[in-house]
Amino acid sequence: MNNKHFIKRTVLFALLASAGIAHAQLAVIVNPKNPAASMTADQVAGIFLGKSSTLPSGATAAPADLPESAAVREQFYSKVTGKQSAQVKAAWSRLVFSGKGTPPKELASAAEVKKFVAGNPDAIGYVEKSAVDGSVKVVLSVD
Amino acid sequence: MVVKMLPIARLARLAPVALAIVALGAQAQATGDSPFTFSGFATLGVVQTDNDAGHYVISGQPRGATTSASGEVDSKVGVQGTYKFNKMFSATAQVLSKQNGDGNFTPELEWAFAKAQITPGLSVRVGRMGGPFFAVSDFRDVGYANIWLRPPQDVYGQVPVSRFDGADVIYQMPLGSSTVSVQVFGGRAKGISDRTDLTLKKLFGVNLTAELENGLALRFGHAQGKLTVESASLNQLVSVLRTTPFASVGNELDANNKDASFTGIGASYDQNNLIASFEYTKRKTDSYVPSTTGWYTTLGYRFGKVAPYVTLSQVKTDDSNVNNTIPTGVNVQLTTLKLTVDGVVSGQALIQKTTAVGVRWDVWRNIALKAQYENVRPEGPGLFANTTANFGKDKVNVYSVAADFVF
Repeated sequence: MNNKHFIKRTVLFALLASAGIAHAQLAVIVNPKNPAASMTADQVAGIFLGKSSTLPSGATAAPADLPESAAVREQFYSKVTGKQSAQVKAAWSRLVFSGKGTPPKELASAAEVKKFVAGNPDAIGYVEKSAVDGSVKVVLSVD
Repeated sequence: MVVKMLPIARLARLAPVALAIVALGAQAQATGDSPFTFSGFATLGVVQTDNDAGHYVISGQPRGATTSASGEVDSKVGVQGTYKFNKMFSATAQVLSKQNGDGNFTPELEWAFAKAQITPGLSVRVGRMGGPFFAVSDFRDVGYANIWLRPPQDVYGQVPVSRFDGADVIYQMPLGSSTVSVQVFGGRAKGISDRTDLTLKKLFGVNLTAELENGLALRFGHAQGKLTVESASLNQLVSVLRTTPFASVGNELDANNKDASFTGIGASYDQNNLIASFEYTKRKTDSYVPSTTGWYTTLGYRFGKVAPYVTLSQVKTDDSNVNNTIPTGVNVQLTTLKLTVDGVVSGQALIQKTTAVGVRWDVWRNIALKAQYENVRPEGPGLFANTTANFGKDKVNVYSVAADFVF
């Protein structure tokens, strides 16, 4: 067990170091009209890994991703889903190429993610916590 | 003699098709909130063995690797588009080009179905779809989606069809912390194996899967139908036998509208960097196509972007389905007939064991590089093509490298 955690941390550390980023706080955001006050990391991971298609309210979720080059995206997936980008990509390719799902919509920047979430009652996204404003609602904070 | 065309040249012929679809997809994506989604996958792979007495192939391919390397076994390109009409209705098509059972790379319509998502858990599809015969059916050609360089042939080589025309119903429901999925399908399937056409009519089956929260997934599947192998030489042999007192031998060989089934169980595990999978499958037919058992088990571990793995697998013939009662020593004609039947039966025998070790390296965002070494121990032709009489006595070492892409 300890070994696994050690390897996981080493890998995570290496990834973060290679991406050259500081540890920014992340926020998972939804539309203010979304009735959920908070969501668990498992619920969010389920949506972003294609295991679940619905929000806690039962509505079909509309998830939004940042570009693959964004350090925040790497951090989001490793913290919330416990998976590396390549694993996430492989998981989605299994869903896409069995006709079972469509990956989250990829948007170019945090500003676009906020705009998308603010404009769609079923949307869910993630941004750096410092970018959050009143147009969206935070349902999960990630250190 | 078959003159080998460079695989690159073969793939190059497909480039215009692929480019056109990519352009279409890019255009659709550029328009922003498009109802059209496009994706694709490709593999560029090379295989070489240490044996010239038989070709290493993906089962059904007429041509593959010997001590001369072949790029025609694993190289492939597939593109897929989905158009969403509204929340309920969508249409999906997939075009795939790989070396097919005729030995060419002609792009084929692998899927073309309309789907109605009736509730979030219930969907109905009509058209051409992937046949869910294995744990990894729909994305078995998508190298990027799998840890192996290619699915273990000792299991996946038993069924020469990959798609069917018909309909299915999929019902997915949460059960405690698990997700259970029930798929029922029916229709007909066509395939080509080593230049021989075959059909499965009255195809019907179920596919049950359960995904548990802890990374464990379980599967049971069963498919059955009426198998016809369109072999003129076999039909001729059968009709000759039916004019002799050994008509029963002919009836046992006959592969026109005969019962065939394929049943499998499987389990897979992917959690905390540990990857494990297992399948145990049984093929049964009422014809000269032998009844077989195939299984594999794969164990892998993810060290960051590098994941080494080991696969052990085996396929064996449970029953040749033909009891050759023709006596020898009566006359030359009968002896010849007996030997002919023996030849047909032994040519179909499917017996081999494989040990494979490999590594997957996620080298870039959408590219995985893989290398795999296999030690195959066939008795008789096994899953190899174009085998000579010398084949099946020695172990065969197989070396493969591949680059898998998704886009």
